[in-house]
Amino acid sequence: MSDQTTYDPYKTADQNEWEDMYGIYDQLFREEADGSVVPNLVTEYSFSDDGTELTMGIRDDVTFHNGEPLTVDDVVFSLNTAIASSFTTKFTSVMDHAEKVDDSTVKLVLKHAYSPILGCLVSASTSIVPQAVYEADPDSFTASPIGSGPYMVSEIVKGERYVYEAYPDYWRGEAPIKTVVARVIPDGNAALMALESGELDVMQPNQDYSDRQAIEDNPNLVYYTAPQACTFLIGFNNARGIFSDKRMREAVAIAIDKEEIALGATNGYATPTDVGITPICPQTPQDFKGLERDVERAKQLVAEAGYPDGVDVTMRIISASNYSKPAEVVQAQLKEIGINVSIEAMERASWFDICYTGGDFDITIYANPVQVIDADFGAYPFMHSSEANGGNNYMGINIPELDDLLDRARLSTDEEERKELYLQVCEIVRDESLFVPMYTGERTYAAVKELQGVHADPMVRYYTYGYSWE
Amino acid sequence: MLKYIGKRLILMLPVILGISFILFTIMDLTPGDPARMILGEYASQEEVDALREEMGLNENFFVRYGKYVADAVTGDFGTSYRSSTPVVEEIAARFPATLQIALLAMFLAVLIGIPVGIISAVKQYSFADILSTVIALAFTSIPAFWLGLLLILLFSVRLHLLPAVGSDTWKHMLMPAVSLAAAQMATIIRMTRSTMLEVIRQDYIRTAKAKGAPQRRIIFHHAIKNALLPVITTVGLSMGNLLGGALIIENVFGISGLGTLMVNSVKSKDTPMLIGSVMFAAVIAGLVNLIVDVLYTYIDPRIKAQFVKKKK
Repeated sequence: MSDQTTYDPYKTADQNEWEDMYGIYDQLFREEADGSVVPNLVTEYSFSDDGTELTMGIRDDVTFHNGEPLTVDDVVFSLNTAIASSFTTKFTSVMDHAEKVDDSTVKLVLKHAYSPILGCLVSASTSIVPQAVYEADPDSFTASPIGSGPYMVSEIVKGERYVYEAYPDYWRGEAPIKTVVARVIPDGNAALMALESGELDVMQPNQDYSDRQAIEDNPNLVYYTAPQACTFLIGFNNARGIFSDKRMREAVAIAIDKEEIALGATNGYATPTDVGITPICPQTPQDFKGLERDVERAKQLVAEAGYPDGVDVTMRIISASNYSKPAEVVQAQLKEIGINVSIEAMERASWFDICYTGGDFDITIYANPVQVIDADFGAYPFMHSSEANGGNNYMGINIPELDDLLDRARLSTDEEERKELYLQVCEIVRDESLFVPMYTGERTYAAVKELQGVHADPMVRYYTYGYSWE
Repeated sequence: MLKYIGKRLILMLPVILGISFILFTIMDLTPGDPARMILGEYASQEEVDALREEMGLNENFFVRYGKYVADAVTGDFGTSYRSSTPVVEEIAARFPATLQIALLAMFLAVLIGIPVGIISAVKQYSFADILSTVIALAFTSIPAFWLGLLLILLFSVRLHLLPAVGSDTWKHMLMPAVSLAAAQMATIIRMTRSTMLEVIRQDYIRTAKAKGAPQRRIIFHHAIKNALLPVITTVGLSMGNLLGGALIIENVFGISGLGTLMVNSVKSKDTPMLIGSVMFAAVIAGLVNLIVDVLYTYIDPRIKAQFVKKKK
């Protein structure tokens, strides 16, 4: 795991920090091992006819770690605090406010109908905290949080280890594993050796799959995989520069060999894809075909665009092997059609500043992630023109027809209609070569074989509550 | 003497000021918005701007630096951007682990380095000498992180003798300390050997030999005192290296010390935390060097005599 700077669910936007919060807090809904979203603190729920109001019954048998019962007031307070926080925007931007209906019912009012809303209520960012304690001293949640989840914090050695004890009165029954020690080990090789020597029981393997073989070959360990909730892609600056010319984008799209890139970048552990929305989303079109590979035509397009003698471009990427490896293969492939790529790798923070929000790049490689497994999360932020210029639409995509499709798909509650709309979205992405989807990898997790109930999770949402010893 | 110490302490001020200015400039010039990093890529620009305002990031560079220095003078080194805890508190929580490893490493380096160096010199060109020279060369060349990984592989994965990661008990400290000590030990071996060789060729040693003093007495009573003087300087200087080396070693062994704190601060653009921790390390290294220099005057009467002369 990485460093835990706070346990306040409303004061962090870091996915890594949410991980342990799933043990400390309860959310209104939770995710099952198969990825389905089921009620957690909620007994029953219903939407108003226009889909803008979600009414939820709240369980009456839940207590916080301080022994106080969890009430509807706590839920209302928690949701409204989350909505007011600027750290939780991903999940709460669509929520207007929460209100109490009666002692066992809460109503969440949305700004507009929104299909992925239940997925948002799974997130640690919408955790439920005790109102009295949080109001008295919000800062105490940085290091000594009180939730209603299966685990309580028992010891913190900052940046090194975080120890959790099972909460005996947890409403779903006490956790089978009584003590959980989370360790921060920045060096991947050292972490793997700690797993091999039996000091660790479960770990997050390297994201470039470099340690996969070693783990799979070890009879005492199990390597778990799940689809990754992102798609690695070649991104263009659609708004300005050399790739604002569609011919140049298309040339790249039909020049590259995705099989070869996936092989070079991930040792073949990733699946090439042609679809512009991460395949893991249920609304993403299946068996979607991209443009045919045609290197000769690509060369022609580059010449037509005004570069018969080739052209030099700079590819700015985040300095990490999961970006630099595909970048090198793409570099070699684009050389064939006269696009001479020089790779400029930079720190993650710099890349976000310069490229993502600054829009100062021509071509890049990035993996568009989703935080809730729904096509809206995979498409709207990255392609809607309202998100351009400093928002998540870092590629500067601005197509009114696309905006319209994305708006309609966001507001619709008819899944079939949404699938149809997202198919059209993907067709525009392909036909305009707005970006080039390359492959989607696997989310991985490794554990000793005696530990049961482990599974890799696309959202890195690990409910330790489900773990037990053989 | 007190005057000398005072002067040295005052001289440390420009050094610290320089460090803070350089770091402040570098952190400011490199791209990456701390407010954006804290709020994440999904936060709206308005929210990021509001946080920038709150953090005082919108002000002029010199105004911000001036404020930082003014606060620092009063002992307020700011709060971490990332964890919102006071920088001083964070350093206090992390430093003990680094100090333990550094001291243990220094102890090991001196304990092994000096005797081996002496033996090497006294028995020049013997098998022991050649062996120790080769080992010293190897240890200077091996990167500490690699040695650390090899140690984990041997003692944790294969032999199950020592824990691979963490700093929970003294057992956890052994491998990090050894990895860190290796290079310093090699330096001490080479230093001791060469100064010892120089000293035992001097006239007063020859005189002692001529008088018929036993070899043991010559080495331990006459030669070692003079030979160790430069070694003490090396040991003092090595404190800086040890603190710097901890940066890498702590990452390998998953130890939460000053080193990992610095690395994380750079990654998350946490300027107050970075400057605070680097300045702290610089002060420690400076103080250790000062202590060594003061010790020197007590060990070497010639240097003490210089001071006395100056006073006149």
